[in-house]
Formats: sequence, structure tokens, C-alpha cells
Amino acid sequence: MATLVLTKYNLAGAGILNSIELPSGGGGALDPDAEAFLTAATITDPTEISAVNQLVIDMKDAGIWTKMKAVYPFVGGTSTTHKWNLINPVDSDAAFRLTFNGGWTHSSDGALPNGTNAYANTYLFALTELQQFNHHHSFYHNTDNIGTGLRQFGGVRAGTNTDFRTAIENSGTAITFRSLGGANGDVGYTASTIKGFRASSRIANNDMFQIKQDGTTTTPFTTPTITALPNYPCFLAAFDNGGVPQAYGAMQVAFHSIGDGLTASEGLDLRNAVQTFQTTLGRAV
Amino acid sequence: MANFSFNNQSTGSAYFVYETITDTATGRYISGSLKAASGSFTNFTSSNSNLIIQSDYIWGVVVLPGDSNFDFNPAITVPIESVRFRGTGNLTVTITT
Repeated sequence: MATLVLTKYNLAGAGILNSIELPSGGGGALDPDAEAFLTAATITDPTEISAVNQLVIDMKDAGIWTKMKAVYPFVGGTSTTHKWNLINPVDSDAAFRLTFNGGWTHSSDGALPNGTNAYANTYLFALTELQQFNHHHSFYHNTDNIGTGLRQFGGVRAGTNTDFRTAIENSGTAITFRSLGGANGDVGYTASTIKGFRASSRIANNDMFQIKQDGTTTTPFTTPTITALPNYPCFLAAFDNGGVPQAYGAMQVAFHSIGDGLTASEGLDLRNAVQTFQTTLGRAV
Repeated sequence: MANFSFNNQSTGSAYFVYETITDTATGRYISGSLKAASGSFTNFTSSNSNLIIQSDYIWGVVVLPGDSNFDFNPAITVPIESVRFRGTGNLTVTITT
């Protein structure tokens, strides 16, 4: 408990700054951005409400909320509730509301693509919405049906040296997570754990890395080249290859974000916020 | 949650304002500015919500003569030195968290 006493002398003129922290909560207050999303998505479950509210609070406290263009929490258990963008919960393409195509199965655990023809369109055009040398996307998967070959988590490409996508590749003997960022930009690492949080982030022309499930990062790849981001929208569970979905993924997605590049520290903050979110919902892996 | 307790020794109303610090470069509230005034007010004593004007960034209250108090429940945790308190009149304000 803290107490601050202000007299008329403190309050006069320019006033005085708060020298004590004011804790949030009490009286049932929700973060206004969380509340807007929950209202739009008609989320009424108290656990989901609390989880989304805390996710927003954690992202704002970490200073990464304003870096986000789109955040999909996948709560509510249906395609109607999963489509909403937490950053801008408006039912329009311009607000990056998702459209699900092909065979998806929606549940309280997330959205499961069939790996054959399922993908979601974010309507977030990389060229106009993202910065060429400063962008990220993240994913949280809670199933491990990775299929064979190269399966995309999401992203977009339109020709050589225009890649913004992350994938998993199963060679039959090794499973590798890959961030495909143009010429010399294939950042990859082999992991034993498939499920959980992953992110690919570029914070400079010569600085791209992956954020792993435990929040640590790969060694930055310093020579990737990207001539331009594609003027096509980012897809989820596939990548948009010049307007055509390809390399369908089959892992259930429980969180997805797209936005400005994240530093290693910010990536860890996002990972921790998402992990707390998933734990509250009882679907953490 | 923070309790705001007022003692107004003026013969008339005093005024108290709680305002979020503006963006240093522009002097305005911009996208991403802390919405430190967003939240709810509860547990009024000798005051009421009709005396309060609120936005996400600023709220102000008319403080009647004598003692009054209420709880302000911020939607976010308000960091130190992120809001400014101002007031007029012979007013003492005690903020307890």
C-alpha cells in the first residue's frame, strides 16, 4: 500500500506528477482495447475475458502493443470468433479481419487447418503495411501434425528475394524451423520440440533471427537480402505465393501476430505474454 | 485500484484533474499514448459520478466543500510519473493504493 498526500501548493499551476504507481483493476475494469475486442467477438466466458485482458495489459506493459498490426488470440471456439483482430476489432478487410478458406476445424483450443487446402487470409499487404527491414510474425501451435516436406506457418512471397514467411520442414530425418527472408536469408534451426511459440523477426536489413519456443533467439543472420516486400496479403497456415496459397500447414494455431520487428528482448516479452495467455486458457504446451 | 480522498476547505467547489502525460515530441496524445485515465469509479462517499468528466487520457472532478472520496480503478497499471495531478481551491488530496 502507498499513500500520496497533495496540498493546494502541489496541485497549483503545473501540478505534480504521480510518485506512486496506481495498480490496475478493482471494480471490474477492463483494458479498453481488450474490451473492444471482447465486445466485437462476443466473448462472454470469464476465463477468456480475463486471459485476453491480461494479454493486452502484458503487451502494453512490455511496450510491444504499438508494434503490432494484427494479433489473433483465437478465443471463442468458432470461425466467427476466431476471425477478429485484437488490434482493430472491426469486421472488414482493412482491419485485417481473417477469412478462413478450405477445411478448418475450430474449437476452444484454436483453429486446425487440414493441411490440404486450408488457409486464412489476413488482408495485410506486406508491401504497404510492413516496413521492408523491420517486421515480424509470430505463431503459437499446440498440435504437432507437421506433415512432410516444407509446410508454411504463414507469410507471403512474390518472386525472388521478397520472402516474408516462416515454415517447418520435415526431411524425414530432421525437423527444421525456417525463416525465409530472401537471398541468403534462410534462417533455420533444428528443434526437438515442435509445438509452442515461434517468431521470425527482422530489425534491420542485415539482422534477422528466430525467436524459439523458450524465448531465446537464434544467432542473427546478417546477410539476408530482401529487395522488396510483396504487394500481396499475408496468409496463415500457408504462404501467399503471388496470390496463390501454397505449402499448406496442418498444425493447430492458437495465436498469431504480425507487425514491426521485435528485438530479442521484445520477442521474449511477447513469448512470455502469449505463454501466460495460453496457460490461463488451459491450452499451453 | 486507488482511493482518492478530498478535503475541500473552500466555501465553494474545488476542482481536481488527473491527466496523462502527453507525447514529448508533439505535446499531444498520439497512437500508443498511455490511456492512464481509462477505468471505472466506484465506492463514492459524498461525491458521485455526475461530478466526473472522463476520457481515456484525462478525468476531472468537481469537489464539493468538505470531505469526499471515491475509488478509481484504472484499466491499466499507471506507472510512476506518467500522470499529472492539478487542482484549484483550498484542496488537499490523499491518494491511497
